[in-house]
Amino acid sequence: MRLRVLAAGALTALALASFSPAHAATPLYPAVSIVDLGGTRFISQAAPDALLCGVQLFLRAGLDRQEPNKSGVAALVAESVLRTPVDGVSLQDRIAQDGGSINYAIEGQYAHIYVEGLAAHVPALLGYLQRAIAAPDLSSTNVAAARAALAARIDDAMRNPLSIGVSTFKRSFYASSNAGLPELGSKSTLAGLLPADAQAFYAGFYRSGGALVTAVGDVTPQTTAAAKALVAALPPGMPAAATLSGTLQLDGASKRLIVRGDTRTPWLVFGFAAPAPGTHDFSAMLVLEALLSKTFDEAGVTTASAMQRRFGSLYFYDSKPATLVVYSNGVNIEPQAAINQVNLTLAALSRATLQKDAVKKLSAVAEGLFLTRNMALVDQAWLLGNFALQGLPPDYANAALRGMASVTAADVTRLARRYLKKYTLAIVLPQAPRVQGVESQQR
Amino acid sequence: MRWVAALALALSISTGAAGAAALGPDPASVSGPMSVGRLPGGGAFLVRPTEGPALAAVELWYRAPSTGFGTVPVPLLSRVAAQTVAASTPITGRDLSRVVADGGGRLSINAYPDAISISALVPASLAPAIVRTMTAVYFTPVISAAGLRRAQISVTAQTLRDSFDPDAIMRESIFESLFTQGPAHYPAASQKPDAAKISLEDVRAYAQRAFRAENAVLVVTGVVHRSIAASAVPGRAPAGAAETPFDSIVAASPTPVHKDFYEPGLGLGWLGPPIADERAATAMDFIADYLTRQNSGTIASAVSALDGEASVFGQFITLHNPGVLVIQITASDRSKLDQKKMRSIVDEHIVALQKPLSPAAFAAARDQFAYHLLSDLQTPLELADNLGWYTVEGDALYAPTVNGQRGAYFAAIAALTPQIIADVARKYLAVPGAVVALSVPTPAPAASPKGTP
Repeated sequence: MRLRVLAAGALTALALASFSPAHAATPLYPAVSIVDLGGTRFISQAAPDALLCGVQLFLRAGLDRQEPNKSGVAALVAESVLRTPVDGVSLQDRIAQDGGSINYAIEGQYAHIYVEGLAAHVPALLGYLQRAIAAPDLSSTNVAAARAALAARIDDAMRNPLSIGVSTFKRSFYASSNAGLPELGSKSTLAGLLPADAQAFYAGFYRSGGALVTAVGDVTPQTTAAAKALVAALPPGMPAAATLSGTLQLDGASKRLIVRGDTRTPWLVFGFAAPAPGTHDFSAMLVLEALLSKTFDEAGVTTASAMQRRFGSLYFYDSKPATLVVYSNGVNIEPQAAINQVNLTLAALSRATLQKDAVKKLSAVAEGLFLTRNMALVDQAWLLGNFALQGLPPDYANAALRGMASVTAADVTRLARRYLKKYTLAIVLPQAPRVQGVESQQR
Repeated sequence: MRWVAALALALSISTGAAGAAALGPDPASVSGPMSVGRLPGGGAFLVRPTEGPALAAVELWYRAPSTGFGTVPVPLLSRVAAQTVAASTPITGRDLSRVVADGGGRLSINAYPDAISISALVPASLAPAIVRTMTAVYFTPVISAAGLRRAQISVTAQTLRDSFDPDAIMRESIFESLFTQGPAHYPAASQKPDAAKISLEDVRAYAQRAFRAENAVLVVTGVVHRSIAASAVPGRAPAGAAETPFDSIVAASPTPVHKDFYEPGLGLGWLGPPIADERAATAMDFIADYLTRQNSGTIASAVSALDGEASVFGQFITLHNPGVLVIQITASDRSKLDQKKMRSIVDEHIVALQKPLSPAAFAAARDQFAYHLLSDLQTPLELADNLGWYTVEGDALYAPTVNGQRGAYFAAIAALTPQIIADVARKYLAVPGAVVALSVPTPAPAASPKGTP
């Protein structure tokens, strides 16, 4: 009985574990301090020995602020800001010249721009960003250059089957809002965006109201002052409300979506609803994800990377409600076998009765997975802002990890029954067979 | 790929002392939060506490034995042997790979031409137990048939993945071409997926010689106490000094290499300064960054302007003697960027660098170089990789994270000048020693239908 074997295998492995570290009484992330920058919070998590400092500006200018027919405008504005001339070169080049870097990302409910550099340089780097963001170049020339850059990034994304699958699932899951629109838009929607669209989006959503700044690493008083000046340079007032709100919850039967990408093998992305941060269920879901990880992943000698695993999982908690995806890599497992395995495992999980000791061990796994996924400066800066923008304490990560100690077997089973019964399956298929060269190489 | 990342950070730095049998730095030469010393069974430890998330990296580095194993390629044997030890269950306790996995951590094992690393990234609360387990497992290695089978499966899968990686293929071909004998000559895995042929006896012989305390460097970084090295176990009885560095034999006149692949690519390799020449090696690090760093490197930018899908990879790999600079360009099979154009871009920018940069351009490039270096050393894992490599190569004090920005490496950066860069470029980059071309095979013309001419 494969079903029983799968479930028993995972649980036996857990039961055999000879030690299970207790959750550390001390916080797992350093202490946080909050400074009021005149209505905008500056949240810092200092680690002075880092030598570097990373500062992240969060704006309520995410995907949900776009109209569907303007998909990509949020990225177009952010890209235009990075290309705005500062001292005769683009902002990103100006920052690079001073020994730093800048990048951005567009999430469901916010955009964030991240600047990193040697601690002594960061105030100056923020000064460059301040000048560009206060008066971005949204001319037709600069917007066209930004559009071309985004098109290249879209091409890159089309070569990542996991990215394609996740994007397809999110578009379906957040169907009644715009939070699931593609992060960068599409080439077709970008082609239809005019400088006036970029100007309107900037005017509507690049506001100091609702903004937030986080800083990690070697955070100096000069950096705090520069962050204050940065926020002050933004147009005042609150951003316009999101054009649509709410999400389409999964209901009824699971559904399948088929999409093609520049991939050589089929990938599957199983998308589920998941609890957002802020409740006990968030901690429990981290434990459940660890259980999925242990159940699906073969125990290799070394740890495979996310793209090399047979199965993997990702918990997205940047938007409410949150989502969880389980994916399978067609290089390592045949798609129908993967679907069968996922279905059998989910059925087993909803009926399984976990032992208390097993849940404790899973909590240890979950803690490790969370920490190792959020260790670079940019990840730490994002965590602070993501939780704060959802109305949670900035150091909520510590509370969530501590909360895993009180997760029970009943919690895990309850979540499995509530969230893992239905899913959207995005099937990512290759565009066309391209095996000639591979065959040649193998010969 | 992780080992490329590790090399980019660690190999690209020169080291001073060469050939010393004892590993590890003099404790008196280290300041700040770092602590160094001798392990109870020999070998060295370096502990570098940091602030930040409660994570720790625990690594064991060994100098890889380079000769004495018949016809088995030593880098491949290193990889299989190290994985066999991690996968073999000791008489008491559990195998290392499961201990790390049950903590939600990551275990990686890397084999380089002259070094092996076993690396665990775990929650900090687990670090003492991982130090204890890792040293117990690798200072008194247990080799089991079951462990060997798991290792062979794992390494075979890894070699299969590498066989689809143009950068891995080009890098190994460059080394194979530049060196006629010695460990650097033999591809680690990607072109010789023979892990299944390695026997238990091969693994035992290798482990006996390599995996012992005297030949080890224990590196622990992250949110840990300075005294964490006390968790290490002594291991088996002393069996002699550490392995000494082994220099591969340089080819007199390498011939160009052509290989069929499903994507076109060009790999170029130049012999560089030995590790003892810190000034020149630091200059080569600067040059690699200046030319090939993604988004800012001059070659990377020129290639990207012509083909946004193409990628450029470059690094200076400092080995005992000599070091190697590699520059590799790959494009899609649809690209109009052919090898001739790739080569002309590289040549053009290297020639340009053989004249001194303007003071302003040099100052900006040096700031960027320093930032890139530190940006690549943010996490406990990156720090440990870096410290481990420097130490096993013979000069931990040269690691950028030792003594912070007052350390030896930053002093070497500060001493660079536009003239030094130009001189080093002229001396070492006149002509590439190795040229590797990957070409998409042209389909054979279809046979003429029967009855037609």
